[in-house]
Amino acid sequence: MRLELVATLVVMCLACSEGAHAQGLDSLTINGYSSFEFEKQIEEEGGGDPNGSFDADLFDLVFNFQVNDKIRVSADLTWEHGSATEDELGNVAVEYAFVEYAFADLVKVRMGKMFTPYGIFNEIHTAKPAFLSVKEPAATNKPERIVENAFRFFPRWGTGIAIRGDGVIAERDFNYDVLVANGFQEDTNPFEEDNNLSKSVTARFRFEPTETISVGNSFYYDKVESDGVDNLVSEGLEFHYQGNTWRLLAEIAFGWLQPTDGEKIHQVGWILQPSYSLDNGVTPYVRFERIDPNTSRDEDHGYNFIAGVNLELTGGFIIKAENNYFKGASESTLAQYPNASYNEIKAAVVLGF
Amino acid sequence: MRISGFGTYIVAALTLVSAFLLSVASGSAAQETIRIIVNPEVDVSRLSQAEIARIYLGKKTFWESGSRIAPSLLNEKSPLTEAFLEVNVRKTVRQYRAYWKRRLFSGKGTAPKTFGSSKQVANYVVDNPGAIGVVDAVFADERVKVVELRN
Repeated sequence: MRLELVATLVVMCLACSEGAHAQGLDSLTINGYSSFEFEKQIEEEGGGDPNGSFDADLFDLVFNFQVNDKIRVSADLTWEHGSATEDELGNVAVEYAFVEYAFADLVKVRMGKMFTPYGIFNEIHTAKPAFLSVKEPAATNKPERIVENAFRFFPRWGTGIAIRGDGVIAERDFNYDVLVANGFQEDTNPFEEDNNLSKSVTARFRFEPTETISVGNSFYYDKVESDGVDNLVSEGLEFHYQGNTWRLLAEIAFGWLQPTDGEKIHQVGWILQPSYSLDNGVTPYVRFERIDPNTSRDEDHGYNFIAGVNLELTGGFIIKAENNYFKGASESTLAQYPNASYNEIKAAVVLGF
Repeated sequence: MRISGFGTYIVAALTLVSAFLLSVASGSAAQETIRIIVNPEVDVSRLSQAEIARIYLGKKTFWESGSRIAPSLLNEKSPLTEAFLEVNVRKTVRQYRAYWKRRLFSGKGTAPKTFGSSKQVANYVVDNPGAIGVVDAVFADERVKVVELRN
């Protein structure tokens, strides 16, 4: 009932806002990004791509339209993997499309489809120019990429209402996000119709104790009631240090998944990514990732160790190359491969504009 | 003249020190010519470094009056912009660009407008109520209001 009341108030605010008339094209900005990738597994057996494949990974257009001082419309449209829908290849999707009403910097209300505001990477997981590596971290964002039986800590997108804002506490910056959405489900289109009365809740708070350090805490709750899952709760912690040349990203996520039948599963995933930027645009990086899909089971965890280099040739034009070394424990799904491990090289040519 | 062994290191070290001192000198020279200007309708005459950083990082988008801030600056090739970002926003050009990529592509807003000359920035500030810009001191003329940096 309270949710309906909030939604009604927000819609009324938008309807009554002054100056909500059409603006000229000066208020429209169009940006975007593209990524062309290559992946090749080194060994004959493994969970990667043994053939070595080119991938027209994605082409995205990002639109921002400042309707008036208070209202902004934002959308990211993507064409992935050489979309050819007549052949049922690739996919065309709306990554996000929402209307944002800014009451003030501290209170901005959004409605529509948006990335789940959880952790460091989810909101940029498709935007390859926005992070160093070829793919976003798997352990916290797509853990089944390391061990197949892991579950997602949160869905990548949500359709609903969000409140977010930037503020200052004791002269230090902070920001927050709260999203109430339909949640994760496979019975219906989660961006159109909910399969239950309960709504998912995502919340994130970030604080910058110094100009070079940011820390954050994310939370997700969802009464799923589909696909054999009753509910999912997860919590994440993040740390970001940005010096003149050194940068360190660290993130840990804890998940509790309650199946419809059976005991609750506790999963932990974390990543650590130091990098060093040289003046010429070259940034070597390493990333260590670990996922334990069920903490009550021994030896089922897996690792991914990445060593790579990111070369920004000009503003927004980037070449990336890295090796991913996947290694699993004796009871992990990676144990099916020789030495429970394999290597996969990945490269990408990325443009952000 | 052939320089070898220890001499090579000394020459290399002196070159690096000279380059560093030159870059510091040119950076501070650029900083001295920077003026932060606003449209005369903006009811602000002083801003702190932290407020300027928040404006150019998209964290502060409204003036106290409630009108939207329209930030602008020279493009990133300009030494003026490089000096401004390092001193006032506390980021290198590359870090500033990376920051805005993350913010833009995650749907949090668009980066400040950039222009090729101080004259264009000044004209933009004159034409747009709520605008703030970073220009060479020569272009901080009577059409705009110069903002003082508050400690």
